[in-house]
Amino acid sequence: MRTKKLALRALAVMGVGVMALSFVACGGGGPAAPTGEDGMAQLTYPNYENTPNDKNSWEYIPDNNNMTIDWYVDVSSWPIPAENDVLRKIKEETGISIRFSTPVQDDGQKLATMIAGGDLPDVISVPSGKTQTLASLAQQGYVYDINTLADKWAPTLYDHLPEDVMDWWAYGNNKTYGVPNHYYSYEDVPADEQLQPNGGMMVRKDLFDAWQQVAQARADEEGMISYTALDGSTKKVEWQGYITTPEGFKEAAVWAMTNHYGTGKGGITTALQLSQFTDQGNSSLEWLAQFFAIPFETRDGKYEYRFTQKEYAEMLYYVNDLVTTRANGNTLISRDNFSQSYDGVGGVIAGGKAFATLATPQDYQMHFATAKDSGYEYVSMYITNSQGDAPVLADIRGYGYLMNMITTNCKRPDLVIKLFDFLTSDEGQRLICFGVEGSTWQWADAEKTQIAYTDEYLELKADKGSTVAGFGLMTMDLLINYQFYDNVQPRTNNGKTESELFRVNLKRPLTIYSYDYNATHFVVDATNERFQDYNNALARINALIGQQTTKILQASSRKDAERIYNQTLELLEKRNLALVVELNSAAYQKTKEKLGITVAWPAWQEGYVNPLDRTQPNGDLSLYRTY
Amino acid sequence: MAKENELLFDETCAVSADVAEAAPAGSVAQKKERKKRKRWSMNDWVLLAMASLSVVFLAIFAYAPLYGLILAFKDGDGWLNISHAISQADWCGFENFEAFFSDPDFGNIILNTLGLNLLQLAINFPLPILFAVLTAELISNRYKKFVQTVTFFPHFISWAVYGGIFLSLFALDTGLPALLQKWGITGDKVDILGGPEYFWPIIIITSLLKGMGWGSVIYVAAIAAIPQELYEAAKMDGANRFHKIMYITIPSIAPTITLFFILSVSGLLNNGIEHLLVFQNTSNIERSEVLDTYIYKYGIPDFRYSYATAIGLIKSLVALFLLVSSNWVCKKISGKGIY
Repeated sequence: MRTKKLALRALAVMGVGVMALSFVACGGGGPAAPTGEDGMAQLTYPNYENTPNDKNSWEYIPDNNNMTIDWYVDVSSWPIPAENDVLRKIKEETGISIRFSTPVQDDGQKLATMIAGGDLPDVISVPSGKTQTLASLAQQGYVYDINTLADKWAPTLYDHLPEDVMDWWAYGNNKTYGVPNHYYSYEDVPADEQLQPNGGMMVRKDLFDAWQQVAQARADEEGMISYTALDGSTKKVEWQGYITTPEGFKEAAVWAMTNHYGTGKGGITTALQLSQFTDQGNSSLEWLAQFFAIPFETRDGKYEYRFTQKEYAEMLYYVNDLVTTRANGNTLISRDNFSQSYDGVGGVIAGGKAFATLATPQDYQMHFATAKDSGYEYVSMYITNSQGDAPVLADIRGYGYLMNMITTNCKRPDLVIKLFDFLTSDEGQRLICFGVEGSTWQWADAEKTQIAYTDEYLELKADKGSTVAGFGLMTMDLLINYQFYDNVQPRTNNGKTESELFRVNLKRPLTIYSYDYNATHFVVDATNERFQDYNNALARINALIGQQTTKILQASSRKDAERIYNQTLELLEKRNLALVVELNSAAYQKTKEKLGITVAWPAWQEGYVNPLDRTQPNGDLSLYRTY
Repeated sequence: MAKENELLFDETCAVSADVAEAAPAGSVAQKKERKKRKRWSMNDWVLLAMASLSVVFLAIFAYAPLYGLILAFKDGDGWLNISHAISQADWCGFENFEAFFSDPDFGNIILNTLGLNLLQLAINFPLPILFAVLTAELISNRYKKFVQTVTFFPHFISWAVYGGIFLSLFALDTGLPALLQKWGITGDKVDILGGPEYFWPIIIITSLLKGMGWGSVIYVAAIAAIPQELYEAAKMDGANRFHKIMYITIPSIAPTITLFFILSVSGLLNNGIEHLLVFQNTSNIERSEVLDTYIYKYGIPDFRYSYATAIGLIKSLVALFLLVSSNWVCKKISGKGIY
């Protein structure tokens, strides 16, 4: 009996012990860092010797340094680079090898698990759209601020990382917690240069040319086509530009679907292909809003929320009209579009099955290239609103879609910030963009202003049987100053394949309509006490808009679409849109102050010249580059 | 057969009688004998060690996580580290529950969760039983094995792949809808993947096709355990196949059916996500958003651990209530339950 009791007691103790162990095991990461007056975590920095600024900080890394850091990129599709010359050169210069990892899915679970388990790697790259995660990482002490790290161990980082890039992501405490990738700095963009747009409209060239013949045949003696506008008035436009009006585009779409619908070779299944509909919305609608020149601020310079704008509603009704109008029994925009995945959209483009597309061209550049190889070349085109305002497109500049952050788990933050310094320097940028000097490129002039690819590299690239992946150009793209690349790259067509040139030029003719939209890329202050409520509301509002937009676009009539739109406005109020607009407005004003502007909408800025040219429906084709 | 049973009965009675006779004479020797038997042998220790593994398992995976339920009553949304959220976030009472109940989508999500599960209970629960019964009736063993293999196979394919087949099949412009229109069967292309009204049928049919074979395994095993003598006796009494199914097969597997019915009822708020996420899109979201997908989308990626825990706790309490009540009802009706 005694033995039995003892056994039971042992079992009970074991159970309690295991439970206690489980609690301990779940408590990864140690205690949370204390919060400072600025609302951010107060961190203790390692006690390494400060680095002077008399030479580049990475030159202070001991020659015998040999360490491997873990770098986690929170994007499943980011291609982990294989061992290559660029990574070897980075190791040679800094003594640091990088071991990259990515998640299987983009659901945030891997990062959440690493944080919960106290297993954060040395460096993490988090999408900059995840505002809450970025702010929380800083607030809760999981990442170091870049300013303090640079002050202590990499003072020359301030010389290499453009100031506007550094400041852009600063929170209320004027500290920045990461360095973005793919940034375009004001310091690097030439003053007289317009950058190409971020979004773009493309049309299948053979069908476009065929339609233009139809339009030309309809023109009067003066080469004009008169048509009934959406507001019922009669308008006239040059026959070349009829397709650039919403009314003309609809007519062209009906013509295309009537004459060219088919799943077989050469046929199309939709007149306008939009990008994938997700519960976070649809990027095509943002591009269309820019083509329709819908301002993002009021005349007196106040922030405007896109979805609640009257003009935006009208745009949705126009798309609804395309979805409900039938030609040959088929809707102009296929309903298939609303349930297509990214691959589904890409399949339509690659197969040349769309008359026109509004999907982000760079996201589908390989699909457009495939279509071209199959004989279906797409060219850029624009569309305007019914009033005839010129498109106001957002240019491609920005401050990155990923934030590279040095975590408080980092083995040697003093060395990793030096690595960042090296990578953001001109030397580092040339390395990650063009490869190892002498191997893939060399200076083209004595003053070292121009580079040229080496013959060996060009020969290998031209040889289809060889691969140049081992050189590692553009593979380590987590800290690329893209404008630097654009400024320094050789102005000759060598070094690029025909397919690469095609992709470079996809939407370049639309550059005449592109402008600086940086004011809209505001950063909401994470130190605001309502930031969490803001994020919760924002997540639900974005999801609601994503859901309701598909209903509005697929509504059976305009009346029905209006009903759903008005119902959505009521639901948005219930989901605390007022808070989102309030904090967005404050951030927007602050951003404008930072940029030193009072009017951000390009068409209302002083010196704006209307670039609209109806005779060039594809944009300015002279802007095509040969390099 | 009857004679043998009779003999067995008599022997059992004889043994009982012996014990009964010996009991009153309970002597010190007998007590000693009993005590001796209770001394633990090596086998007992081995058994204890094996049993303790299940205790360890339950302690780690069932009881220890219960501590985390306090997150439901804390303002832990936005904390990146769950442990910190549990230990350091402020208490907020029932705010997380109120936030869920007052969510404009609450009614719709509950309707979808219950609606889809009730339909699955009504269709997907009995069909594997029927399938198992019908399979057992097949005379050709080779054909039976063929049918079982074919129906088992889809279970081993992931939902991403299996669902992908249906996504291609139902694609509006290049799949079945386009063909049906082309053949003149439908006037317009039926948007199966985008139409909210088709979402529940898609889930019911695809899960049935994927899981019916696998779901019938337990019933096939239960049917195999029914003594053949019962069928032979029934045959001699003139029972046909239908009679044998109704009066032997079904009653014999009734305890298994009851067990799984009770477990299914208790899972009425569980849908799983991998299946639903394959077919979910913004067009059918009003019929495809259920509790599990909702928690998945707004709980973890947005670090809303408290909110997600509160919804999870509601689910668990409802499941517990359903388990107890369905067990009670089953016991009342059939006298069988799981405890």
